[in-house]
Amino acid sequence: MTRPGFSLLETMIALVIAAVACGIVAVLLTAELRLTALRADRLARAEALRVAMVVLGGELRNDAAGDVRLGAGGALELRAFRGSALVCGAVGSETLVRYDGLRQPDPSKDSVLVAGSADGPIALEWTAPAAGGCGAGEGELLRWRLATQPRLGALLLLFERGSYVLQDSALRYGRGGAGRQPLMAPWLDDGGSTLRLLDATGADAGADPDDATVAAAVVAPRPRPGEPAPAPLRVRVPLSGAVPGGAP
Amino acid sequence: MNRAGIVLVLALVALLALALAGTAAVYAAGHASLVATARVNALRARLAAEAAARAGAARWNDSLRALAPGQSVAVGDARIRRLSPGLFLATAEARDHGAVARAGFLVRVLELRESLVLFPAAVAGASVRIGAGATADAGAAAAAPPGWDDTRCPPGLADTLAAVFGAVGLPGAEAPSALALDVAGRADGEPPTAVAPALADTLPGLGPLSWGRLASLADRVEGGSVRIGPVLDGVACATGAAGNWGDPTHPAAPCADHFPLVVAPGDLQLLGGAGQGVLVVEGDLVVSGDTRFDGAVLAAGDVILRDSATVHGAVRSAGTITLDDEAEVDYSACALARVLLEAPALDRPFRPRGRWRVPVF
Repeated sequence: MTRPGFSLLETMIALVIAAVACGIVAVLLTAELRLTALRADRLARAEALRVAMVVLGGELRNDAAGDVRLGAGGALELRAFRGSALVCGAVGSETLVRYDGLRQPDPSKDSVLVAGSADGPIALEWTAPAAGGCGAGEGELLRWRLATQPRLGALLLLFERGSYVLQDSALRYGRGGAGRQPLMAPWLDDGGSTLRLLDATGADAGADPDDATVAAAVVAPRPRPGEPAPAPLRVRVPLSGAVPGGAP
Repeated sequence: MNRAGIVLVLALVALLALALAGTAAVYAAGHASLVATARVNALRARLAAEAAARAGAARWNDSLRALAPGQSVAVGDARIRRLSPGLFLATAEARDHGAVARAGFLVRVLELRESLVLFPAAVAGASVRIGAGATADAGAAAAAPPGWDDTRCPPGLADTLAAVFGAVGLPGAEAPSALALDVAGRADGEPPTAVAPALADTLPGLGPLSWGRLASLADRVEGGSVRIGPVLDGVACATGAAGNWGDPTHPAAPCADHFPLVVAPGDLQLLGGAGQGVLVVEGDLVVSGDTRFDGAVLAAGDVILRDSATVHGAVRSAGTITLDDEAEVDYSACALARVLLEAPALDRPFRPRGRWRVPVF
């Protein structure tokens, strides 16, 4: 018994059509995958810039001129405020405060400033929960032992010493002298990114200024090979206490 | 003949791959859009909170001075809390599409004690000369000026004087050294004259307000030679009229409660008439004729009172104070307290120096 099969011509035509179809599909898939990668890349860059803007803006706007300075390697050393407390009483040498913040106070790394006072920081020696009172909510009332006991009604600003730096393609934060951890994916151009402190005229305020009014950051994304460098993000944060135009 | 093929299967696989890739891209873009929208909402909430806190501070009124440290009161959408005698905290919370933000600003007000401390005697300066016939009298330091009744005086003045100076009695004249005091006329007080080396230091301004700040706040700016006196616009006090520095002699008159902050960027001479308020002179001051001034006089240069010029309040100078002829300065804590508390330029909230915006959580 004989079985009919494809002729050579039919096979060749089928192969050509299949090749063309596969080629078209391959081109479409490749383009789609490249577009997806490009889109993901841009989203990651936008996220990195947004993190830089949000973190630096949120952190620096509460700092006054005496709270920030430029350290070694272009790092911005600052008092990072993590909580605020109202003094509502005293028990012997302990101060009763109504506290709220981003985290619980930690005497190993935290100090306090008295808002409105020209005095320097006060070391937080000890903290413990207190029973209810002072109109405080659940967990808000604390007993603190401070190196100097503040007066009733004072507003205490709890802070830790930290530093921000644009290094190894990412914005990094480190507390005290500890290593700095990245806050974003490594998308930054180290050479094109800077952190600066400016005075009221827009000039650099120096490494340890008392007249700094603005913290400025230029955050430049790393360009992709073969592409022009994208526009950097310029962030200017007026420091607390900056008076525009000298208005009372 | 029925032949099976795989082209349809291949086409379906290709379509599926394209659909998956497109879906992933749409998801990523949608996620990024949500994040950006959340960021915008957070920013709106923060700006609204800051605006509410600042609006609360702008609605400052004297009743807030009655708050005890730690006490707070709602003012509009904000809450004003007293932190210390001269320092308040204005806070507000705002929401926008689920984002919540809180803002806090420090507000400074001028406390009587921190400005009263600049006036420790009827006349206090780098050097003081009281000619024969002239008088510097702090014998009744808490008394009201002539023509004022006691109801025009803030309560508790004796306690305030005691708290600021450690005593209710004050000297008539005070200078950095005994050599800087030349009293041929009359100096009355407890003691009549006193020495305070700190008077040789630079005079920085009025309490926390520098000379420049005072100039920017002034209710009136004067210079040259001026004759002062109340001016009415119908039945109302024409506070903007030239030379109108209020009316210290008629307690029921329309200008009786007008206590301007008057700043002279240079030299100033008062030729006569009556006025009241806080007078700040960045140059030299001459008060002559029958001039009567009730309030605080602060001068960066020399001060000369002559003829029958009278000041009820106090005079403080970084230079030399000279009283000639029948000039007289009577210390009046009542006049000082009223003008320092009620001058429109001073009775208002200020930004404190240094930190203004504070983190609240």
